Amino acid sequence: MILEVRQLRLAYGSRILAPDVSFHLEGGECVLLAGANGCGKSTLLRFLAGEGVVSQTASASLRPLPKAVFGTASPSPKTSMGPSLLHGRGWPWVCETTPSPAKCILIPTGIPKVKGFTVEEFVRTGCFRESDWAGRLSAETERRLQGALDLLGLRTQAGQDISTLSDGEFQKACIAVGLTRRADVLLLDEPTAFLDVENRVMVLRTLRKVAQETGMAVLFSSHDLHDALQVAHRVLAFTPAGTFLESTQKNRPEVLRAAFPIL
Amino acid sequence: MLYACLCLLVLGGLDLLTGDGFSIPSEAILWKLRLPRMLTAVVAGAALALSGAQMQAIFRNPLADPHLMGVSGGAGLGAALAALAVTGLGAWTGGLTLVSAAFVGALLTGLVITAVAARTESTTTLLLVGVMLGFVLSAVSSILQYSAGEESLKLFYSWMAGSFSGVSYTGLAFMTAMLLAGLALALSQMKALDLILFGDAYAALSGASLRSLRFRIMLGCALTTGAVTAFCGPLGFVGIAAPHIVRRVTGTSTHRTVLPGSLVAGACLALAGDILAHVCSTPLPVGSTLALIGIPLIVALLWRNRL
Repeated sequence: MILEVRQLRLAYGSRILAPDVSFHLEGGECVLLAGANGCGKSTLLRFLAGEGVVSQTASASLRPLPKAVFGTASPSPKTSMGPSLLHGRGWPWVCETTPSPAKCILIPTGIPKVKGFTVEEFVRTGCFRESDWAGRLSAETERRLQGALDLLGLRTQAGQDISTLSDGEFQKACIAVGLTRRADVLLLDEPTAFLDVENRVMVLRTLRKVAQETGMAVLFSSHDLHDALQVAHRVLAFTPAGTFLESTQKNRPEVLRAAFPIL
Repeated sequence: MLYACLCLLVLGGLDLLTGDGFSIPSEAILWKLRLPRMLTAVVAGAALALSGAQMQAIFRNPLADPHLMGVSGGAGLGAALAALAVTGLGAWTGGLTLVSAAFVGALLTGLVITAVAARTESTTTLLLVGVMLGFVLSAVSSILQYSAGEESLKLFYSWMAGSFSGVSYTGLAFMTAMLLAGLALALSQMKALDLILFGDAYAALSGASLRSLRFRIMLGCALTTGAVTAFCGPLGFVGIAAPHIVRRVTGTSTHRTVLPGSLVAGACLALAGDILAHVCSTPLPVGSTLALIGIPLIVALLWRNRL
């Protein structure tokens, strides 16, 4: 298990979006986060990415219960959590607003394709924490970057200006940033928004491939349920009533019907 | 890059030769007038272009320039106040007072904007505050001019028109020091400037601190632009045009290239403006010649980009 969240109370400002968000993510898994607009998908993703600490609005609005547990943690006397929750490597981690110890990297929606950056330069720019003052990457990170480009099939576009990429290819370049930064969990907010059918399918298949080949967990939100279900192993969903549901591989249809009663 | 430096050298040489039409300067004129004028143009152009490149990045607006944050308004108010106060003093003391007052005005405005930058998350708020502050300050200096005497107005307007002449070596050293401070701040934020082009949200998620970035950039720009504006008057267009020229010529927007490139391009533009200002027998205001050179350049760039 890469990430476990238990009893997170998700709120935006004073409005509670979901009183009890609990789920887990396994390595190599590609999971769809579904729900109507404004139900809390982006808020949850931003919280997982540690945005709650960075942004003023988020830190005020994201109030998890004290029992929000993240992580690749092992039992420890420091926590009052039941041992069933805590398995894996690393230190135990009980947190209120701190980001999880599993490295969660969020790719937000609508990143502009700024003219004047090659794909490689774009990925290096995204590795802000990993690069030196002049934006150079260490040899190891640079190798990972090249590996990511190979995995995503961006080898021929590596030196191409990002403004000339298709939206789908650019989304892949964004995924390359997550791979280069060595995410444990890759979070994507609406990666298929505004894409045409071909690019949409390409991006979604890429997500599944990335999860399976790198062993990281991929959690993405999307409204394209039909296409997304082709690649998602499991579904997490917000219902209109504010309950948060986690499906197994089997009961995806029931969970989706609860989230979208119109189906 | 080599090509750009060559261009800079040629323009610099040409500039030394201009003054009252083209002429070979005598030694005294060269050291006392032409050389400081040429160096002032180089430093001022470089400083304005450097600030312009940073402003365009943090506001993600191709029209942003160093004067956007009200610095020239603040300098103008300082200059107007000084012009009113120094009526009757000698030209030299008057000029010095005006420069100091303009710098203080620019710096105070810059500090206000920097303080706002450190407190707000929103780029739009910062932009609005900067532009509004500029308007308010120029309104106040207009009121002052309205009631000013003839001599003060003349002093004020000659500053407003802009010129690279008459800056002493001490003044030049001061401007250079400010430019170096601004350059150090800019280089320290180089990769954050790249990152912020992809949006505030993405920059924050990637680990950049937006407040600290804006604070440092604003501080650097206030220092450099303030010093240049105080000595040379409010000069536009170099700050806007130079970074665009660099991006256009090099085909890249990474600040590893854009920042040093802007220094050179800005110096070249300022030299060209200065040459144009001095080829006629009576010197023209540099503010105007820069506009005459800068605007067609910007339009040409936009034209080729969009159509």
